[in-house]
Amino acid sequence: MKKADILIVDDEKILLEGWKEELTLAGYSVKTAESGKEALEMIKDDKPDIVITDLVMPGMNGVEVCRQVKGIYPDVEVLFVSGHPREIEKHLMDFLKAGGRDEFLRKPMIENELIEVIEKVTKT
Amino acid sequence: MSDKQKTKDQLIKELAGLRRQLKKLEKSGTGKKPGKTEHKKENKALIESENRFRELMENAPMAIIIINKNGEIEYINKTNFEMCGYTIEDVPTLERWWSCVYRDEETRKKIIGEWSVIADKILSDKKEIIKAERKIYCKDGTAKDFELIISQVGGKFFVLFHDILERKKAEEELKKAKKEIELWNKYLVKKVEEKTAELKQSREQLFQSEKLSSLGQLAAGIAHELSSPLTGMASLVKVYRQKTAKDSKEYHHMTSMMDACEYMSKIVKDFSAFSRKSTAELTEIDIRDIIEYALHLAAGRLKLKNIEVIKEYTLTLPKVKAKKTELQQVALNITLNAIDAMDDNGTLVIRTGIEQDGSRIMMSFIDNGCGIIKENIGKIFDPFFTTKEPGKGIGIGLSVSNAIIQNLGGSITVESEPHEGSRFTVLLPVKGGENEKS
Repeated sequence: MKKADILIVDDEKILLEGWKEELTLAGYSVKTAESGKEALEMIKDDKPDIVITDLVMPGMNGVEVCRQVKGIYPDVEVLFVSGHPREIEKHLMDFLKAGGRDEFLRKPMIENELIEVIEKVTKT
Repeated sequence: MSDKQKTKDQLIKELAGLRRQLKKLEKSGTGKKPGKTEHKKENKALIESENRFRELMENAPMAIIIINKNGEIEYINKTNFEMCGYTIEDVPTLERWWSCVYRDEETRKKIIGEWSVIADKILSDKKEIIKAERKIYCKDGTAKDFELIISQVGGKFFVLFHDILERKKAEEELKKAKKEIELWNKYLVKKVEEKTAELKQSREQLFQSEKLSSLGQLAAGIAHELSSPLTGMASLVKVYRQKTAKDSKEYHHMTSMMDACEYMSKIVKDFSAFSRKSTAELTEIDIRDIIEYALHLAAGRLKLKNIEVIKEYTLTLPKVKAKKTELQQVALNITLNAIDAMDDNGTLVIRTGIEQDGSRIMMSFIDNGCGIIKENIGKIFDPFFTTKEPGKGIGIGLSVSNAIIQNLGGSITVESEPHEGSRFTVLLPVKGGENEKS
């Protein structure tokens, strides 16, 4: 069975590289974007199953990315990643209102939480 | 000028007049003899003067006694009788006078001793006037305070008694007022000292919380900046390790890199927690549950070091109002510090209690670990102060705990003896949460 297509949006290049490698190794098909704008461009012709977006980014933030992705594809699962507890508290409600998942990824993430969360999302 | 004073002055003037007349008479006695008419005239004048003088003496507002050199009392005026009640028949001699008016033997002896000095002085110098204060027993048994003015007139002792009751009263009142002022003064000094200490403490607290707040912002910034690259790096290391043969040198190196990533991740998470302002609700909490939860979380480490935990809980304990997760963090921080301070087979005593007036509850953590040296006691609540070896802590546990407890209007204190152990005591107001600032 083909595993999910995942798009990761983050302004930190090494995170994009690391997660792409990790998820690819686990059998997922992964694309990356360094900004919300770039991500929205990419999904126009290529619908992903899951979008993982950073919460705090220059330009468009994670809540806005979620709202726009959901505006185009309501059935795409969007979850956010952040290393900033205050930002998480600040934006969590808006993110849920925009149709995002309530599971989120908290940086730094060292163990196997990334794969565990993604598996959980793909199962539900 | 009062009437009394006027009469006193008058009396002194009269005395001077009398002295002058006496001198004149003495002179005239040695000079030529007066004629019969002159003698009559002088006699009449002398009688008149004497009568005037006697009347003045009798009715003077001051008690008067005249004593001769032999110690016989020759005269007691009416005022003296009215004031003290003694007649000349009662006290014909000075000795008798002393035994009547000074009833305490010791005082009497002292006064008799003083009298001989006074008498010598008065007799050797006609102009000498000596003042002395005496408490005199009247005939009816009451005691009165007098100022005695002793002088010499014609070789006799002339003693004036001035009633100083009013003055004594005023002096007593002054003394009382002075004492009261002194007490007030002491009270005010104490109050000022107390307020200064309070001010100093709150300034220190403010400084500490400002320091914590700016450190919190800095920590949050660092945590945010480091979390993304660290996550990406860890993922890459993980991926390449998975692709490497397990027994190779590369695999071994990548495992070390993973460990380093984990360590860095722990620090970043600590920083993150340090800056985090909890939004949890204030609830009513039994601190015994908090301690139990901390012990549950620390169970693995307690077991590893075979540390015995002795719980001495009070049976009834009022609840405190606080954020549960925050208090759990405090109890866990102190417990973990105690475990780190102890060698294997140590003992940790955890005690709860309530202050006598019921206003605060207490939880104490007593370990028999390495203790804290004196110069470090003052620093243990400072952020990033640690004596633990690298990798065991970054020194924010106690500063965060202190901030949490202070925010609840409580306090954390520490008593410690190097090589013997430490006791951390947390005090929390029963009606906590009212001072909560967040």
